[in-house]
Amino acid sequence: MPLPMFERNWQFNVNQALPWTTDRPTTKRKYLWAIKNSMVISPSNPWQVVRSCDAVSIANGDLWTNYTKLIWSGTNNGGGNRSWCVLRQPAISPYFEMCIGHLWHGYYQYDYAAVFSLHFCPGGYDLTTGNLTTRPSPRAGAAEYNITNPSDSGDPFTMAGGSVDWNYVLHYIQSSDGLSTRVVVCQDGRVLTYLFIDVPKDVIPTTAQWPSPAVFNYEEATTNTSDFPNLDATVYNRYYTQNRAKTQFAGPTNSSIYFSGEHLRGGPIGQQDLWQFPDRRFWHGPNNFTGEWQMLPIGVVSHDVGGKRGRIGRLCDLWWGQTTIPTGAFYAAPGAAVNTGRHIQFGHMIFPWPSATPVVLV
Amino acid sequence: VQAPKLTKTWTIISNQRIFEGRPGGWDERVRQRSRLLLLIKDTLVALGWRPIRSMAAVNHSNPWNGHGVSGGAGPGPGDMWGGWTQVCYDTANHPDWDIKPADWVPGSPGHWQYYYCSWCNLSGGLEGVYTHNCQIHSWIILAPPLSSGSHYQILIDWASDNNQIYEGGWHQFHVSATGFTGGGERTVAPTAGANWSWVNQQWGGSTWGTAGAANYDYTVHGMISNDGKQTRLLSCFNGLVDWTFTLDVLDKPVPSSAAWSDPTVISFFSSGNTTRYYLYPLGYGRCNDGAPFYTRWSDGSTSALYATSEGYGGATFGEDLPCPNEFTGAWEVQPVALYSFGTTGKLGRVGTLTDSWWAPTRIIDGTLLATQDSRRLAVFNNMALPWNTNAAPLFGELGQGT
Repeated sequence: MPLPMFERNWQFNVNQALPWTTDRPTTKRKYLWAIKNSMVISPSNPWQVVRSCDAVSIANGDLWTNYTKLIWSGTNNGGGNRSWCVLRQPAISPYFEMCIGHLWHGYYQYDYAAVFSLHFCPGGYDLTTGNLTTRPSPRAGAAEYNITNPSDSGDPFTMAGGSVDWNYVLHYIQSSDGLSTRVVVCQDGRVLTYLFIDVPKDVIPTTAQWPSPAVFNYEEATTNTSDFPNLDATVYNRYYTQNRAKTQFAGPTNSSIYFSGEHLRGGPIGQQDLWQFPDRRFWHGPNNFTGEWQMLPIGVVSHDVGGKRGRIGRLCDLWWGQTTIPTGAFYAAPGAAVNTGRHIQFGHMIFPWPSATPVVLV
Repeated sequence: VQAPKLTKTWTIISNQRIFEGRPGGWDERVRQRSRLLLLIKDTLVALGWRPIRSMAAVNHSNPWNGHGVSGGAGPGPGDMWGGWTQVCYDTANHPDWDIKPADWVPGSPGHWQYYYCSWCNLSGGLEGVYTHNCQIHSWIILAPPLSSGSHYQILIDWASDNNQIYEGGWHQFHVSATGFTGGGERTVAPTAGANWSWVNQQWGGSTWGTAGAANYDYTVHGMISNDGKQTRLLSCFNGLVDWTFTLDVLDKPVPSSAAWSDPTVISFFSSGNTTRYYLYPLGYGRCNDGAPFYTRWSDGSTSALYATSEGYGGATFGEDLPCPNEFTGAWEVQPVALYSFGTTGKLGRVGTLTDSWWAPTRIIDGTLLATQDSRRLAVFNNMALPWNTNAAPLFGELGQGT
């Protein structure tokens, strides 16, 4: 049986090496800059920088022309100018925007960190607002969804800062129609961070109920907290067991989202723990009858109270895999002479991948 | 899925009711079991199942307690269960009027310490005669419609085993993938070929017997797809689904025909005994946490199958979401996939049940749901099954019997 066909066309900018440089803030401003750059240079339906600040000036365009333009505020958030950037993806809705902001560095939690915040504003920002120290405000009737970092008790992100000097590899995967954007950053063989903005298929709410029908989040596999330490950013524990994905319904009403999957005996099939079934160790292998590894659809479920509960769609060209499949493994049809290299597992999810391109994880 | 699409046309025999036999007493209870077994058999026949062979013991009319079996007819081909009086269990207590001093036996005069049962010609001490077991009883074998392509067979066997008087007999329900071809006498039902059979001994016996504190009516529902490949049978009492039988020849089996030449899955389950009110035969706890479906592979090995569902947050979708989809106002149901689990070399998804869906736990038994083509589903425990009427299913509530 062949592997599933993609429902969307995909464009890739994968295996971008982000080596450790002189210091942590410099390394991490390159990291953020690479994410922004990847988003705006996609050949088809790229994201647009609609307003930005380089801590010196403000413009309705892209001032982040070099990583040096990402300026952190004073140590320990001590004030002063800082950079921010608003990106828009009009393929989702006319003013669907994301803001990277709140940059500062200093000793944060356990590490000397470079901190940033991430905000989604499906209704768009007021592009006449924002100054050298503060990001723009939402336009009238719009509202932000502030992506807090649950690993750090809701504080901003540390860019997965750790006590070691890391090299990163960034994989940018975006659909040509602009409806799916997935940023997977690996470090030392694992998925360190995952940023996604995804318009599901088979959307159930009406446009009036869900004017910007995208789910989104940014997740870090932090090492300095007790919340999933060292777990990949794309695992069942985050999105299946917990409602870590986000969206915004009409209102605007922010809502958290579960990613559903096939369920058996108390958990997702791909995560059935070996200790639960010590006599059934072969469970974590392929289907014995076909030789196929399971690629399970991912449903999108809103569970927040307030009239927004129910299944609202399914993710496109993204599947749940099995926990025993390592990050970086390719999927091939059983018996196929050639591994097409178009389906790759990161964490517990299976992504589209450019054919015949070896993956770099370290 | 909201308002799912039915893939097949269904024949549904719904809301068949029988009366427990008030004002009560063990005699009526036993007769009620006879009526219920007959109704289940008749429903299967009405759905197109074929009686292959049967034994019809005859209920012994007794002025004291109504228990007893005479020789009856059979065994023989086809359906010999013409009426409920021919559906009997073997008794350990033949009627008092048949127990006589042994000197009534010709040729054995004067031995008053011995007794004799005129029904089965057994003599011995008084206690032994009163508790003896002549083992004559009714049984019947049914095969699914030929169009199903399935080789599975059902054996309904009212084999008395224990506590017959107090619990109405130990009904046994066997299913064999290869047919019941061994033996078959007045006193013992045939055995399955290849020594392979499942039996649910909870069905009947202590299970139904626990209803003895009160009298209930029963409701039986039967459903079959137009091509005969899917059969559903439900027996309800006291407002609950008490027992279910499912046979599903999978329309799109995952394993090859070489590995699975007869892609039939079956399940039969009662609600249990002491915990009967918590173990719903078609519940998530029974079918998703447990593996109540069975099948047999081409190599003769067998597997238990789990019924998987979409889930999130640590439970199935139907357990998690406490309300209809709040964007559409409609309840959501999920497909029922089957996973083989636990047998080396036979692991993985094997297919999906046809026209069966997981339902939310918040929906009560009997709720009717709409399909895409304006047909209906009815909710039984946590599953939504095809339904054919605007009338809600009955569940053997007291007073509904006829």
